[in-house]
Amino acid sequence: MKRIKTKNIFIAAFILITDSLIIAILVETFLASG
Amino acid sequence: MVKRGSRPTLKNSLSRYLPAIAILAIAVWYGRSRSGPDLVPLLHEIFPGASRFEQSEGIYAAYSIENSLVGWAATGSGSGFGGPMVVLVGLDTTGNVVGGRVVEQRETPIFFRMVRAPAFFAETAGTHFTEINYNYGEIVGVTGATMSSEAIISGVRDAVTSVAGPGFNVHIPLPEKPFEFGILELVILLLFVTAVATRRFRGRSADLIRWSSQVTGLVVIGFWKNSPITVAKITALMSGYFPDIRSNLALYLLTGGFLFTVLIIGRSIYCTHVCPFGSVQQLINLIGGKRIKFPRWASRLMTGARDVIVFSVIVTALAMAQPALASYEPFAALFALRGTVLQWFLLFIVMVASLFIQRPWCNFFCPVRSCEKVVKDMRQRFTGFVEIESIECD
Repeated sequence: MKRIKTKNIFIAAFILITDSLIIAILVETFLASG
Repeated sequence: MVKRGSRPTLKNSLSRYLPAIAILAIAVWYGRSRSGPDLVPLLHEIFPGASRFEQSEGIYAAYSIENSLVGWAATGSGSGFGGPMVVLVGLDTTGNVVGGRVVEQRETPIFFRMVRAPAFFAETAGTHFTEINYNYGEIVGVTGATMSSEAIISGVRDAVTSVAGPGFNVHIPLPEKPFEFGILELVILLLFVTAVATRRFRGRSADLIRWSSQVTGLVVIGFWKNSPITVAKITALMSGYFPDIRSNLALYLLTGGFLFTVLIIGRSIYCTHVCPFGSVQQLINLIGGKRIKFPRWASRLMTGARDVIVFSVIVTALAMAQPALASYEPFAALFALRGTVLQWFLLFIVMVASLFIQRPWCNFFCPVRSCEKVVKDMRQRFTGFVEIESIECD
């Protein structure tokens, strides 16, 4: 089985966290605008 | 680095952009067709003793239950951050201010909350309309929300002027708006001109020019004025809202400089030499000293996600007629020290990532990069030239 590189795990986590944060900020702004 | 690409045909250019342009046009149309707020409840708040209102040429006359005239009210508008700011102001029959309300606003929520609009209307109540202190904007304006505060002041002046003529036969001349050309505008102009004039320089001199430009942009456009290009400003322009150039010259210089350099010389001088957030990442990367190369799958996934997010938020903001809804950049957290917990968290992640990755925000999350990609692609369709994708500054 091909070994998953640690670097790729970090990259995937970085993508997931930042994109989730951006979406959360957009939702927060939408709700705050009333 | 420039390479020659194959010239795309008009047919595939249309099939590529027509659906997106159609969606954006529908969103703008829908946003504009949304009816404005109902003024009657607000008029009742300003004139609690009034039982009915008669509207004629934009002026609302308020009548008591005994059918006697109580006062007049009118709306006025000023140029806000994301669109016109509409306020409603009421005067009694002697000309004293009774009260006022913000009727319509398109500001970024975090900044609008800082504007003391209710306090301003409360403190102005009882003042004769000829004695309103319009310089009050300096008191209302808090750091970073000056534009919203000034928009309210302009709206109040506009509304009072509307009532003063027919109600009191007084003509209030609107003040002459001076053309604002200060240090910010001069710096933006110099940064673009220098970068374009020295674009063929290589080696040490090119590095020196770029670093000086970036540090100047960081200090002046970032920490001092907090006025980088944002997706909210782009959306506001796309919605057809063009704020007065006399007091918003910096916005036009930045967006004009961005478009001009991408279209004419094929790369965004704004991103490499002017943007203060790009400079911060560059400086942090200098400290970290690492350059993790992202695998192709990750780069494609991130830029793809960015483009989808940018397009979706612009369409939503246009359809809601609220350009500020598109805003997700953590610029205000860094440059004005104003932000929500989530924005601070995003800023922290981007700053830490900058230690190991070359300009992570610019390359994978920045909405300006999505716009640059579209403008470059359109340019390529006319000239046949393409540029390299990621920002590599040295």
